[in-house]
Amino acid sequence: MIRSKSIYFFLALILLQQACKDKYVSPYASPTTGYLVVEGYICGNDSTSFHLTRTVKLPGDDNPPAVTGANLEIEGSDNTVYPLTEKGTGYYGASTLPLVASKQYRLHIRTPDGLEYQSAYVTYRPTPAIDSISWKENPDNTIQISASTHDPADTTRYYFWEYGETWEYHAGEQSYEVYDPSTKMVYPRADSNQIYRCWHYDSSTAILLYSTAKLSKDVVDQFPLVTLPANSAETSVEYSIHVRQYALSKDGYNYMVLMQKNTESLGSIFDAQPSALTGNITCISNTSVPVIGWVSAGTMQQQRIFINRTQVISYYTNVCPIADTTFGKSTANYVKFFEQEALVPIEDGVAGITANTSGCVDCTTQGGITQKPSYWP
Amino acid sequence: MIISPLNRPGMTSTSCFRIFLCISLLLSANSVFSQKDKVSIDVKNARPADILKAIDQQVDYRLFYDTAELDTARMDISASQQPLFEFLDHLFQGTELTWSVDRQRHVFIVKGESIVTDMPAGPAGKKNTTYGSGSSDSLRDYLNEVAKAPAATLENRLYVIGQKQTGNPQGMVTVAGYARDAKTGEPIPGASIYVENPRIGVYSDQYGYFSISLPRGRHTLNIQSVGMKDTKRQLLVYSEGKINIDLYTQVATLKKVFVSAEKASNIKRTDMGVQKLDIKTIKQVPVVFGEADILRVITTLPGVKTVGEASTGLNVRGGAPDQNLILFNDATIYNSAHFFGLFSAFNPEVVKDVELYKSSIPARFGGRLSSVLDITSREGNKKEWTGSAGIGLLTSRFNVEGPLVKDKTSIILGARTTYADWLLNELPAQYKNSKASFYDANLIVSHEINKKNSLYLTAYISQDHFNLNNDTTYGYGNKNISLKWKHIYSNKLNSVFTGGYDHYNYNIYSTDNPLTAYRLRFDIAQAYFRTQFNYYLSASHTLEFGASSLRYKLHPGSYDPHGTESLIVADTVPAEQALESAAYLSDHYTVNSSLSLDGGIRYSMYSYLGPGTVNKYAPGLPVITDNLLNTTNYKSGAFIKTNGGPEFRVSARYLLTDDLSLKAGYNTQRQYIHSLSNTTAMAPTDIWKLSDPNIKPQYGDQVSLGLYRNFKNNTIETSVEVYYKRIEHYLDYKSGAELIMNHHIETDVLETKGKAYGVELLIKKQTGKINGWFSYTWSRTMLRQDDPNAGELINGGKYYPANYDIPHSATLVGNYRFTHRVSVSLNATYATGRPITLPIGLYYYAGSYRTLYSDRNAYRIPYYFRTDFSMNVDGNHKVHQKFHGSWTFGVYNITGRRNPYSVYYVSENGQVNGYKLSIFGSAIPFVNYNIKFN
Repeated sequence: MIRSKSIYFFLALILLQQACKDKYVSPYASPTTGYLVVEGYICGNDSTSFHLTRTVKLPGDDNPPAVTGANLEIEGSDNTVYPLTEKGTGYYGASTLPLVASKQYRLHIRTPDGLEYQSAYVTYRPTPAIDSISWKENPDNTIQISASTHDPADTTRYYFWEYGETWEYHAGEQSYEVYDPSTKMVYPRADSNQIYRCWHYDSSTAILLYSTAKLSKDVVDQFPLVTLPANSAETSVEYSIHVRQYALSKDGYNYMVLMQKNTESLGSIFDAQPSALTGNITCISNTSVPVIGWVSAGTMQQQRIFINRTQVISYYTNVCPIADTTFGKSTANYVKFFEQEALVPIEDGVAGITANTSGCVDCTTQGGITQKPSYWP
Repeated sequence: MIISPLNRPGMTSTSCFRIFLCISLLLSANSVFSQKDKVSIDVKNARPADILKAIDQQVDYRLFYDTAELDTARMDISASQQPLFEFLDHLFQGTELTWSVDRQRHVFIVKGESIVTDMPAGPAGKKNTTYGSGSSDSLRDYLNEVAKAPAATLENRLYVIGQKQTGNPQGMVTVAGYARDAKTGEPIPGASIYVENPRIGVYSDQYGYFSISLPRGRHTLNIQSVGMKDTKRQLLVYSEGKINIDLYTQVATLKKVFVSAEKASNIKRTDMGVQKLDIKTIKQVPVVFGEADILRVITTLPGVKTVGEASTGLNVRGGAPDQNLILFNDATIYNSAHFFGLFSAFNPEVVKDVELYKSSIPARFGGRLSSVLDITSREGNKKEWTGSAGIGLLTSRFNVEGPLVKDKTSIILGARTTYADWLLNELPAQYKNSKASFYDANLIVSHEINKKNSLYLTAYISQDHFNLNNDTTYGYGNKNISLKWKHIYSNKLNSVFTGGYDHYNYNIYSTDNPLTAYRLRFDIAQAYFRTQFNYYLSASHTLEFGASSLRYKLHPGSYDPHGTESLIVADTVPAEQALESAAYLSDHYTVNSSLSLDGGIRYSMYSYLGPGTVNKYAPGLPVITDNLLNTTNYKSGAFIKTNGGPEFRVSARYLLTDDLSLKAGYNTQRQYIHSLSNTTAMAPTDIWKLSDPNIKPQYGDQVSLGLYRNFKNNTIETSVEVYYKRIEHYLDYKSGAELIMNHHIETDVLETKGKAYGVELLIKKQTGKINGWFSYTWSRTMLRQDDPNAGELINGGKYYPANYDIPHSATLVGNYRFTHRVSVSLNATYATGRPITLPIGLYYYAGSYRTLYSDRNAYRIPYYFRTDFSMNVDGNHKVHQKFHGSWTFGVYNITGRRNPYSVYYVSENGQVNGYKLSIFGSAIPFVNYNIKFN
């Protein structure tokens, strides 16, 4: 029996090494493309924003090149025109536009290279309100956050979500002192200069889509948006997610589904081959120039929820991996510990200055900022 | 001749004897060598009958003889503990009496050689003859012995065919009969039956039946078949008659073998692009997990390719996997893969041989463009019950066969199953709930009603279930049944009537979220009836004609709620039905000894039948829902659309010398059913679609030319074939095509034109210590979609490589036999990487960099190279042993190369990463134990 077990184990080991994936770097050089990429939403109940970038070569280590100096307008089927203004590098927007639900709208773009682009007219689609953003802690110590919504008229059918995440986390130890290299002195730390409480921001990177077209009712029941490991920094203090929900047309949904299939759902044995994407924007000055993106219009629905660490069974606490160092107050020590070893002072005590590494004391080293967001409780 | 068992003193001793026999067999198979076989006797002035009576009671053999034949002269004889056979030789010295013994220890004593008054010419009453007079060594290898014993009797005997006639002795008459395996009674197809002068030759058909036209008079009929001992019969032909020929298995000899020219059918046969493999050869080729796999071995042949290890889909001469007609005893197998394609659906224990037609497709076959893979099962042992069982790492199989009625009816029952769940349970947590299993079972019954009528029944069932790391469960299965009736009208005319039913279905269900729990189902069924007539018109013309009709019923999909809570709206794509009929006529014309021609025409008719709804789109505009003009409803049985046309099958062979021939062929094909799949590998969820008013039937034609040359007494066969093929109306897919539950599939597919061309080289050595083959193929397959009205140009309307366009591929299959019991096999495969669509750039959208795709199949994945090794060790070859075990050990992918199956890019956490997926990432050892019993 023992022997047969070990044989099975051996065989399992062999097979575990099977179906395997290795990193692949294409030996083919990618051609220069530089096609226009248009992402945004014509919004009737909030600000409208479009982001113009260009396609790049692989591997795409840098930020996408933004298209600046372009001229963007929203054109209505009732001949209304709403210009957008450049709000940042490659971002163009306008505050809430007086759009009319019965009309159709399109986006018109003139890029600085003289090309003119135009989207198809799209129907203005109201989005039903988000019923709830709910979450549950799974037995495998993950937190799953889901969106639920429904359309009593059973007409929306195609949904798209985006989210932004914010979480507060704390450094391993709180620093009450600050070292000033110019004076080579340690001073009490001002509240405005605190490095203990940080807020980390992130946003959705996956395409979140769902269709109720095959259901008898237009009901989305707990569509999973994000899964967090429960004992991670995200829920160590307080976590917040802000979900934006959009209704899509069937074609817009199909475009996003194909984008998802091409870019996220590959890697199984029975994959569909990736294929070319054709959106609803065309280059009207040269129709053979490809354009990426789909323009939709309508209303946007949003909801924010918070998850406090007290609500989570298995939460995470940031602790310093190494013990504090205490040394006497002297300029030589300050130079040695704060400048050469880059420690951060914690306390000015009787025994001297207590310090620890910046990774432990300074929460900004873990990707967050110390500015408390306005919506934070 | 009357053979009466020796009178025994009452029944009791006979039963005792039998009981003893059974017990001795149960106790030990080897105990046969310690049987009582010594005689002690001391008599004077005794009659031979009395002597035999006396010794019969001393040994464990039963003696059979005709007292009338025995010498009445009295004799003196004495022996003390003399072996029986030695004693018999001594006893019959100087007389005409001979003896022989069979495996049941029956000793037959007859006068002279056994006299056969009627056909069949097999050694009647001497079947399974093991030892005979003149064999001094009583423990010789059975197989070596059988061939010897009848050699003297049958090959030199003169068989008189028909009645002596006083009239004109001129003219031709036909002689017909069956070629069969002497040991099992199974038919031998493809045996060459010929006379030297004048040169007339035929091949036996798949039932072992042959019919040869001979001039009246004396002939030496030669019979040869690969793997069987050559034999001949002396005939004196007066009028039409029959002769059945029993052939003996050729014991694999390790010495040099001469292959006579006739056996070299590759040179002589008219058809080209045909490859036949018997199961023995297939079993030698090492495959993953050690389970002999018919389809994998087929991929080692020139012109046959596959897109990857997790696919048993074959690409024959640039054809798509759905362009192959896979027949198992006339039943169409729609899904020939088990277990994600790692196994093929055919149980090697019931398969006799596999024939692949990739160029000269006989006119009796039709309905697919690329090839016909004709898998023939064994017929089952008609003489005795035998069986086999095998145990592998993932599968087990069991097979039993034998006569229901001796020499008349045989049955084979074979089954396989898998027990791979243990393996999946050992996988990491995310695969923990995975399950995968399959089984298949075959039942084959063949029954000879009388000399003119035979029936063959085949039933096949297979089922797969799997569920991988999610809550969606997949299942699919084949069910097939066919009944064939072979009737012989005369030596010149015979027919085969076949009727059957094929069914394939799959279903997918998910119960993950009760609100969206669903079940998705697809199935296809076909009922068919075929007739085939063979008419041996004359020595130079053999006609084959027939008709067939096939009715399809296809349920393209139904999507239903699963459970009461489910909000899923039931949706059913309406059933489709069609009728495909064909009539054909072909003639094999032997012009002279060098030139022979095969000409065939097949006319196929296809009707798409109601009830149904047909969408009509505006002509000249892309087929999209926006351009839908109207829909028409048709009543049940209405002929909605009828297509059809002739198909030509022509080939010619010219013999340049005895071992060099040139062949040419042209054939056209029509295909009315399409598989819809936008995945690279054949997926279990692929569905089939019948041609309808919006989807045209596929049409293809092929011209090919081949040169065949044999070396070293025909032990080495070589061939070079070139081909050029055109394909029309082959379906490719629009970007983002939705194939499942699509009510208007015509809006998601594109018709393409294709062309395929290539050169195939094969070097094959079938016999000897070293045997095997090497194949090399250079080929291209290009598709083109240049109709701007179709809605989407693929790659700008230029030719683009098909998913399975693999220019270079080479395979070496080698086998070396150290001894009769130990052999090693090596298999090496190289192939160019298949085409793939790689990203040409990246764009940033929805929070992440994403890949930008443009032209289809513009790049290739890295090349494929794999070497496998296996070693077969048979147990001993003792004939009387009840159980024969054999082991297969081996290593698949011995170099451990991570052969790419696919290359893909995926956006993960905002970044784009490229991966190369391999199905097998290391060398995989395997072991299999097989046991045969009788």
